[in-house]
Amino acid sequence: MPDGYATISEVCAEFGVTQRTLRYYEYIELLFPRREGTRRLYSAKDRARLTLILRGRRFGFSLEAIRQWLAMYNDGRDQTAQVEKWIDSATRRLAEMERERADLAELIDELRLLRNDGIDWLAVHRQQERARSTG
Amino acid sequence: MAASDIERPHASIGDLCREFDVTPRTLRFYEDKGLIAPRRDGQRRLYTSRDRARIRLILQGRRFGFALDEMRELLDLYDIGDQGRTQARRVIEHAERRLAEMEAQRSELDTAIRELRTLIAERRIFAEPQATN
Repeated sequence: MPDGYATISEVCAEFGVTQRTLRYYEYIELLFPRREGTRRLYSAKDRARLTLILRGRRFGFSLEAIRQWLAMYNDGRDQTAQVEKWIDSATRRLAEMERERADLAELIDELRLLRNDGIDWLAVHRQQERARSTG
Repeated sequence: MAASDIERPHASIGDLCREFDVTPRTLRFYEDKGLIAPRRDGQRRLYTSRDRARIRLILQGRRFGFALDEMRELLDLYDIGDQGRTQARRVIEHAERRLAEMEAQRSELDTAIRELRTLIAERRIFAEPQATN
């Protein structure tokens, strides 16, 4: 077997997955192990991809979403700095949106209070009117 | 004019700007739109306590997103002499409408926040440099 490659049973042992899972990932074109006859050989890159796939699954992402992300980040290192930058600005934007949401929620509560006060006030007023007209 | 207006010294535009934390431009704008009508002493504007109360309501309404036209209508209803009943009813109507709009806005914001969170999580997970061989 070529250097740095692992067999399917080695990969299963390493990642705690079944052979069936690995064959399925290959069938849906998430993994591309080398073939030698009927034997599958997994390179370090295949195993790195598998790490990401399994992590994505743990976080509840669909296999289709995972495939798209893997395709996008296939280029590796070059993009990492850019992605970090994107994550930074997106995280800042997220904080802004959460502040905005908190402000909006507060405003909604205040306005609801104002409306309820208005409704109560009208009700009291109506009662007083009625009391005055009958008394 | 109410007696208190005569007795109490009128506030200047600077006084009200400090009190409400707004610019003179804002107050002049409300005046242009006919929402307030301060008296004039030559060039100087003099604001009564009634003007002040109207400004307070305008700013509150603006915060809730009421349009200026709506605010003018609500303010004018104070003077129709039914002890504010029509005014209260209209305030409730406008509040209901704005509440519905703001709640829709909030749920849009919720969706956007959820989506952005997912996107960030995805990128964190998949942005790791993948080993090459």
